[in-house]
Amino acid sequence: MEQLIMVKYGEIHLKGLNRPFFERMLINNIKKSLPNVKIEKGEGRYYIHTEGNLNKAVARLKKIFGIHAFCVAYCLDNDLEQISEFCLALIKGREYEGKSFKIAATRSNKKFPMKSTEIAAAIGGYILQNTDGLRVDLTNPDITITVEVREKAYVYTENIKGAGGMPVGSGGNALLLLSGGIDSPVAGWMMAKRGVKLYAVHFYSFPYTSEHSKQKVVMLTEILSQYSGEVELFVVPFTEIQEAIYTKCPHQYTTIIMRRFMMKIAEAIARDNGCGALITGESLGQVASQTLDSIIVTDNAVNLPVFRPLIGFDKNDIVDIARNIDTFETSILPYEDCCTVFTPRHPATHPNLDKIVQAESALDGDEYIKKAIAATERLVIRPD
Amino acid sequence: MDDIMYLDNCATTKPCSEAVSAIREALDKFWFNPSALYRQSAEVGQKMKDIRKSIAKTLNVREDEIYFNSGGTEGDNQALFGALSGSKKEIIVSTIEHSAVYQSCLRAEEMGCTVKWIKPESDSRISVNAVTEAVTEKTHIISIMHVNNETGAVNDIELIAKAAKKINPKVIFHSDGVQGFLKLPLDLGASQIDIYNFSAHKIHGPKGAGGIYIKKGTPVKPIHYGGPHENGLRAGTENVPGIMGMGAAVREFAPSIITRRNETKKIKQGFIDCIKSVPDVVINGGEDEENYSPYVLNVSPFGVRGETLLHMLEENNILVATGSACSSHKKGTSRVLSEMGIPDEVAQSAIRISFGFNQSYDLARFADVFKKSVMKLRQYRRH
Repeated sequence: MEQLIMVKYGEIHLKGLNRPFFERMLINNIKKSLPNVKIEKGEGRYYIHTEGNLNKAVARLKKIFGIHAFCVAYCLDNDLEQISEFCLALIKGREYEGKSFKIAATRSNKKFPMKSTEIAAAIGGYILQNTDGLRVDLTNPDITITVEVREKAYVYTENIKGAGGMPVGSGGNALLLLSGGIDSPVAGWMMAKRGVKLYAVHFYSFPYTSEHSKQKVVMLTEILSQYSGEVELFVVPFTEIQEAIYTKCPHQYTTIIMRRFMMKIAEAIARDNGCGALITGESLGQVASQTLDSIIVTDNAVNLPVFRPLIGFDKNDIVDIARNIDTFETSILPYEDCCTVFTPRHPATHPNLDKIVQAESALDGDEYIKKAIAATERLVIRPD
Repeated sequence: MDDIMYLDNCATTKPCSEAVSAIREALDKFWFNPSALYRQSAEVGQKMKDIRKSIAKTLNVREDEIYFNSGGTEGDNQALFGALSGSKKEIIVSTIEHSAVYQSCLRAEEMGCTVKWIKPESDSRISVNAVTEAVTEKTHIISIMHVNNETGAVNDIELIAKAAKKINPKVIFHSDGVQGFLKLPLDLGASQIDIYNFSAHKIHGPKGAGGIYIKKGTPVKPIHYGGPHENGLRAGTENVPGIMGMGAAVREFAPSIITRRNETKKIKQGFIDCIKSVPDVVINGGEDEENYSPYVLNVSPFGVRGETLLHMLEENNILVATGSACSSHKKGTSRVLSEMGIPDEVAQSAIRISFGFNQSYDLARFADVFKKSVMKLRQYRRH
């Protein structure tokens, strides 16, 4: 008897006339993640025939945005006797004595001669007749067997929670500023969940940071790519800019000026690659460069919208998500992700835009930016 | 780009060509299990016996007092946990030991042992008095390293062992010899040292091989169990290729300990001179030839982060270390330097330069890159 995966998609239901667009996107994403499976479309459902790689497929599906829930179902003919026999075998295959159960039946195939309540009663009755020590509980059962009578009958016991959100790509493209710390991968994940296709940029300051820290960013991008699909990662050489800022600008402003340079470079890369927004992991008040005044100054450096999905999050909340999405352990590897040499001991927390712009003008910013972009390394990171 | 100038030989060394050939030969011809009963195995067994004999000769001990193992960390664990054998006894150990000893002693402390920690003098050496003052009749084992892996400080382990045994003749004296073996002359047979362990990859042999000397009659039990290999001390089929690679390195370098030491002293002096030509650089530990290994040099250029300097040298194909490789992935300063009383800011500037066997270095190139790097980085101090 074939075991297959039945996928239930989430918010896409709400999308009215655009629904086919979202559905197509989701199915493409599933195909990219599971290239060797056969996917069939049913009413409100996809059926995935995995041909033996069930566990791997389940693990991957859990990371595909747009899927509300899915289940591993057995596919049977629409024959009540056969279905009842199979449900009985499912019960007998587990410790059932002293436990309660429920048959949850649905019938979208109106050619089937019984109503859903009748189906549930018939199967439940058959099970009760053929077992001892099992009772029915319709509100809080220990075991639930779901029977969906559709083109075929699908029987399953467990609903697996999907990643939710919207299919990646349905929300456009955006460029994530990825530092290697805890926050930025979480910010990327959150936007990917809302359907954004991710691009990433990392600012690399060798020798103030090491090859190891770059590898760490590649590892984080790889984890993100498991959710968002292939990610293009741009590694921008940033040392010269940092040194120039340090040499030519007042030290209390170096961090904020550095942030503005990062945003400007990111914006240029975003535009070149068709990204409509930037994404950062900033959370209000977390550090000096993330106060409201600092964010005003940073935002002023660019014209693209900047998404900051973590803006209202406490650090603990961010850490919880990082743990759930498996980026935390990599994020806390101790290689320095930003050079402390260039971090002033007393950075300005309430910078004034005019003063910053004035301080910044000591550098030929455009020239530095052009040079950094020309030397940028582009890596394509694919999920394992 | 210039060739790689490898100055991190305390972390590991490049296997010498003799070791590489011996390993290849072992994989190709001598792959039989030395414990099996046919002629081919006996031949492998004989090769191992010859290597054991040559190591024993180098250290002036009996052949049956040398046991092969996987290297330094295993040797340290074998010495401590093998001698403790699960009992809650008293240990005396220095605070500047390699992590393999240091962490093992922390574990022993958790298991109920009493650990007396001996701090180094400001020159990073362990004084004889500091140890003898701690020894009591309850002391079961003392572990003091031969050569410190970060500063190169040489402890007078022969004298410390002798003085400790005068107070408590039953005490077991262990010394981690990983940075001393084949680098400094040592007559273990004439000493009162009971256990001394070494590693192949620090002497231009392969990783995953090493050995331990345990004086006949020293009560040391196995730390893992299985077959009767290594005279019942270490279960598990021997790493024949590793042992043969180590054997080749020992054959190659054992005869030249003294001459090589003298040559390396000159090399180290050259580096010291060029480093001192840059203002505000201190040597962590000391530089006198008697008390410091010629193979290790630890320096702090003020106002520069060691890690950043390391990467700047790396950019010029010069490879050095900050702390020891086993602990340098953790943030913070070196335990050894801080135990010596070196302020954090100086310790964070430290880099370790360590020399290999019979190597020559382009000192002018090093001097140039070192000076330029330090001067450049000093422009960017944190304010």
